[in-house]
Amino acid sequence: MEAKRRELVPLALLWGAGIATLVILIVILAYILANGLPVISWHFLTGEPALWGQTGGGIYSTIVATLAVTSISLLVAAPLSVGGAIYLNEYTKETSLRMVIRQAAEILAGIPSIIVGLFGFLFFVIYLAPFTGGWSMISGGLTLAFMVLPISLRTSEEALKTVPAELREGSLGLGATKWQSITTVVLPTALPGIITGLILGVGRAVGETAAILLTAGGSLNLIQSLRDPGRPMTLNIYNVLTEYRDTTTAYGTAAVLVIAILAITLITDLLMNSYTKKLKGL
Amino acid sequence: MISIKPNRAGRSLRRSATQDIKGRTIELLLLLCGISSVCAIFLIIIFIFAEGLPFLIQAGPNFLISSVWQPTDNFADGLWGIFPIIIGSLLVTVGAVAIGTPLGVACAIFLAEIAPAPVRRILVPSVNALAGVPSVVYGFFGLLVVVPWIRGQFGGFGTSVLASWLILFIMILPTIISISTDSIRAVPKEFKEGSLAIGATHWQTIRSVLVPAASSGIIASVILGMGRAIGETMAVLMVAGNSITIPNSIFAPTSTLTAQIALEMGYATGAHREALFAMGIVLFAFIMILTGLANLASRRRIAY
Amino acid sequence: MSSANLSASQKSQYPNLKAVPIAVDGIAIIVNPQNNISNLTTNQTRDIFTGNITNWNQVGGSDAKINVVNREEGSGTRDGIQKIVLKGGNFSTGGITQSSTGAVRSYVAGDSNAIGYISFAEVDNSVKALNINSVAPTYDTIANGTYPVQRYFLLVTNGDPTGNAKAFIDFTLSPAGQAILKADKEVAISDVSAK
Repeated sequence: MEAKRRELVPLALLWGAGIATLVILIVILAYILANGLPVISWHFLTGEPALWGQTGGGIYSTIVATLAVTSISLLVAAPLSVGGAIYLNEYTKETSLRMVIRQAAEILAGIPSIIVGLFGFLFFVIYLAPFTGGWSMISGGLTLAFMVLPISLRTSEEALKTVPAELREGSLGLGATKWQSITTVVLPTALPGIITGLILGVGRAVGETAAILLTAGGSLNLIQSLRDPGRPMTLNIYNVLTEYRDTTTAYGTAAVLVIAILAITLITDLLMNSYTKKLKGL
Repeated sequence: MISIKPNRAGRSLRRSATQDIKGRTIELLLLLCGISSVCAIFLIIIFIFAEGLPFLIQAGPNFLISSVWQPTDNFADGLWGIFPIIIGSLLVTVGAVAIGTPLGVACAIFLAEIAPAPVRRILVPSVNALAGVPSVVYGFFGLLVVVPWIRGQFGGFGTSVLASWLILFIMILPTIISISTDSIRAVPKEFKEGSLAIGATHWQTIRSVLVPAASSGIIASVILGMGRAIGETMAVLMVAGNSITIPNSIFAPTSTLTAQIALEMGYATGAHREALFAMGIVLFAFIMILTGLANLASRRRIAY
Repeated sequence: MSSANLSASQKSQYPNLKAVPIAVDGIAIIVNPQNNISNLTTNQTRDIFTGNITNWNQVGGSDAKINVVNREEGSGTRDGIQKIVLKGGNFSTGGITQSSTGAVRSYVAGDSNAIGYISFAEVDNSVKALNINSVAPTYDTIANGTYPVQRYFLLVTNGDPTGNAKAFIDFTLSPAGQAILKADKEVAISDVSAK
């Protein structure tokens, strides 16, 4: 009994830690949403930005810019990460190669975004300017692809790993080629996990700022082509805050971003849960 | 008879050969996808070093140990000391980790061992959401809530070491929590069952069996959290004050490698720009050291 | 477009750079409206930014530490203050650094002990622009040169301007272009007394 009572304190502290983490999240989200939701209106989402130096106006061009850089990054990173994961999991038993690739993905995921931004600036903005248009959506998107790649790769690989070996063996036993059994059996089974990885990658791309600051150009004009400079939502928050303390626009933009992140978190959570349940049912 | 046999064998060989070529092509393409991460790292390293290394060599050790930062676009006219910026980066990181570690590890133990299923169903996605919130949103929150609070409460600029700690520790929580939780869960069941079987309580089991067994993973999580903190840019840029001086109190402004690069890249030309890439190399070196340490720590796990 | 004169090394690296002055911009020294100081000499201003003066009571104000707000290295405004006010001396490292005019202004607007510097054109009623040597920054004092802290705005081209670049420069220097600059409180080149 005495021992039990003495344990109440550490157990209460552990509960406290769990609750504190939750409270921190709620405080930040509530603060952003309470101030930002009232700003969001049809006009705010679809309107043109205020003239330079003035506050207010819509954020349509920044939403388009976010969609542009995110799509480009996904277009590049998705095939590379899914293909890479298939190779790692289905094709190579060579542990040293797998180790090297996994290690590389881990290092890539850990490189600070400002360094990836410096690289993107030099490589895409300066070096490949004739192709990317200098500071542009292409430069920003390709730079982001470097950050999306390791996240999607890791999650896709985990998903492929959980596909039971019997499924592969059954398919191969029926006379399917390796590639046939991958496309018709393995990939469909792992699809929820792979999609989760891609969505997490999208979240990373949508939320990134530092790398975008050095590569996307920051123009508030609506982009006419992917070779135009633009200002994604995250960069807009930084710019309107630091340039003229336009807290209204910053709150509204932050609220849109936070809603997007919450949606991404919920979707991935539901996907992964139904997926693990399904696999357990097999 | 003899003439037919090779014919048949040749036909089937040919068929499997086309399949083989297709299979090989696919395999080669997938291999290229696989090594894209490796290529990505080499690209980044080559470009950052090509731009920053000549400067680093020219400036020599003084770059790291002298304290005056007066960049100009040609090398001879500038003073190139980033010592206070390195100190700022380390100070901000160590403080955030010191605050974030106890909370993060406790939360991980809670998640892995104590939280009832419904609580876990809420807390796990919450930690993921915390990881997903863009750093500029954390910086925004810091700039409008934390900084004015510090200025009102303690005076000074408000933008300070303390403000950086209070924002950064939140940002590294998800890293510490998720990796620590995984490593506690990875402790073999027999450890826990054995401990409970000999009459230890749940808390005794956690304290004397589970946490020690998971310690290498927990340590790795803290080191990776450190990497996240030292590499964070936007939030720090917005709340640290960006003052290139060694802070004399936690209420004084400071600057970090990341923030200084982001702040000055806009107008930097010539030697100034090369110096910022050299700062990138220094930051990269810190990250590689931390990654190596985290690897060393988690490698010990394979022991059982 | 640049608000800092081309440096020697910029000129040596790109020998064809041509700079065309299009306007003169005053740099206002700004404080919080609650600050009872309204005038500083250039020497006092220099000493504040170099860190020799650290308390408002040293220049006749209340007893409070001076919170200096700087622009980042490379900024034309910072360069202007360093050349004109600091006479090449160095900024103290005690201040904080903000990355834009608006950021400096909004910081000073929120801190009653702060001092910073921004383009005269960007001064609004959230901050107070100080008189320097008893001369207030106005269009006229900047144009006739009595307000000392001022610099040219330059348009920079690589080689002699041609095509759209030339058309743009010509427009900027035309009466219509200069009127736009004037509306933004920049001093038109034609109004500047010969310096």
